[in-house]
Amino acid sequence: MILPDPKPATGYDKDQLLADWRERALGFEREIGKAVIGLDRAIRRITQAIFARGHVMLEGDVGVGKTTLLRAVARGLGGAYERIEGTIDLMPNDLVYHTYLNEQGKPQIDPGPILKHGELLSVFFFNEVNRARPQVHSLLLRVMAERSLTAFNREYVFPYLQVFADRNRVEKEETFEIPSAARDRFLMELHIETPKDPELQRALMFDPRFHDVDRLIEAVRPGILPYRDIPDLARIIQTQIQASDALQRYALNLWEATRKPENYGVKLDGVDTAQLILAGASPRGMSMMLRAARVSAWLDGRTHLIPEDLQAVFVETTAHRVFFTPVYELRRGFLIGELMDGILRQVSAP
Amino acid sequence: MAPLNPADTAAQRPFLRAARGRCGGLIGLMLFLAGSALPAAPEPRIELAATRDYGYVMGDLIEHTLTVRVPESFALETGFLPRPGALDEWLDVRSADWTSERGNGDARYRIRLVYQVFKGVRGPEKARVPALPLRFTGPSTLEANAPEWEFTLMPLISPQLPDEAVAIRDALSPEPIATAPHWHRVWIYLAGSLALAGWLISQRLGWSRRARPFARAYRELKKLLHGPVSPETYRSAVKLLHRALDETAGGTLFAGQVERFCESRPAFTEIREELVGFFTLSQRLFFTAPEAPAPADYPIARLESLCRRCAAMERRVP
Repeated sequence: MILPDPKPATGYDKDQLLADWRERALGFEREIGKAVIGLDRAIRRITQAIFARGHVMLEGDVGVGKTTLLRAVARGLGGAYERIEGTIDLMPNDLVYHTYLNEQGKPQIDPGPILKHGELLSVFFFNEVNRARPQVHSLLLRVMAERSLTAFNREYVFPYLQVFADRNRVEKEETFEIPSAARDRFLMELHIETPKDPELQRALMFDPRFHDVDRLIEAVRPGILPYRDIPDLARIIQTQIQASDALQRYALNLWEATRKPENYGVKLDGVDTAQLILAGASPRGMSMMLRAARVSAWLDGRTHLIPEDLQAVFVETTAHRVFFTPVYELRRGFLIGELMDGILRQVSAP
Repeated sequence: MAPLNPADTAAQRPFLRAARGRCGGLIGLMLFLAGSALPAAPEPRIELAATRDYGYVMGDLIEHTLTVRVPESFALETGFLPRPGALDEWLDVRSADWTSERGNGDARYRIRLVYQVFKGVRGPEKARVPALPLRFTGPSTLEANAPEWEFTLMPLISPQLPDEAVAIRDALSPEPIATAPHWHRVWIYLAGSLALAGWLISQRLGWSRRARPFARAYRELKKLLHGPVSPETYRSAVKLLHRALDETAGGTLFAGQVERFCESRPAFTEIREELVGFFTLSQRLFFTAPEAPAPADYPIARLESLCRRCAAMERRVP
């Protein structure tokens, strides 16, 4: 089913536009679901991130399908796609330009992966981002925050850019932890895990379809979502989906609970919650959570936010913005999940 | 006076004789003067007081009080006093303590000694408590002895009774102890325990009342409905029910969790549909149509009825 491109223009029916695009978004999810199985939650979060215009970090073990998922998303989204592997000797310039000798034997400088497609760059996939140096992280931070880059004495703007990054959590040697300021720029951090369902595990092992990643990706219909229209649509979603007073209070309480969980009766085993938090979620983080929650409400066909919309995106949009005091930071992997669950369990609405 | 040097003789040294006579007189005078200038060694004055010196039998206690006066510059060497324990084979020291007071250039010590006799006799006998040496320290060491003390010991059994005929008497019956203070204590403890138990029971009852969130919510709901029902009252009533549901679920309960809630608390299964309806109402009221008037299909009486039913379900749960 191919829908006509619903161009946002004056005099259009916003409700109809949102309904059409919703069908398109759900179709996109179904297409991605053909390439990867058992990752429905991750696919939904990525769809939310695309329509919330936020960047996504994927984290997980090796070989769980992170790259396949992102390649499928890039194909479904259409537009120019670039991918780079993070390595310890990668420098910011490597992203901006590359130099070589041309056929005439003369030195030539060409735009690098980020600049190559100009403003048409739609998906930039940074693989193994934590293997790159902090200088590269800084460049990425600028590109993500401002969707622009200064090079060759001019400013390049990438209005449709969506950054996906991934890092594996197995190796820690020769890696550079991404600074909190850069992590805060990501709308979401998704944890990709091996599917728990034995049937899916069996299919991943025995179904020859999943053995050839390139053919899997080719099965995804390209450009289901016209990427050029997404920024406008994202704005419409944010203005059309309403948040009642009660919901705003609930969102504020969730935010406050990330800073002072002890005030909400959140208790973790063996942890003094009053001493746990070094810094709670940032205002930018909370605004990103609301953006994602509005998309969640839209995808569910509602025009008003309900608490479940916030709950759906709370962990992925907030967990990586909460920082523990050093004594608890070492146990972060275990504690952060407990804390997020505790907050959702204790903060009530209405 | 002896000659200063016995080797000198008047015959050998005739010229010294006169001089020696003069010197000898001088030295004698000096010695006399020196002797008269030294203070006389102080003599402690000791007085011994005892209760009586007759009629003691084996096991009796003898109490001696020694009053000793010495110059103020002297102090009793208390480490020299006998320590409680056997003094000889039939006499023990039970206790030795002392007090002192000073005044008028004197130090007066009252030393109280308690002896116990362990001597069995078959006829009246004289016995004696040995002299007690005392030592004082001061400008010099002063020693003195409390005099020995003689007393008469009496037999425990008649002298005419042969040893074989002596019967061992029964043990002494225990001394009666006044139990009244103990009874008072028992009553006080009992009253305290009853008060504590009462308090705990009241707490427990209070807790169980608190542990019934719907019953409490229902009471508060009734209170709320005494006044006129405004949209705000209606919202407060819905919130009351929400809090009771949260408390029962042990955390926040949202629409999507009703199924799991009913599974874990089967008593609520029969009102599952009603609960789903309540959550739909709440969503409409607070989130999706907050400006709309209270829904006609969900009057506040229905809320009240749901709360009452929930309170009934909760009573079924042990």
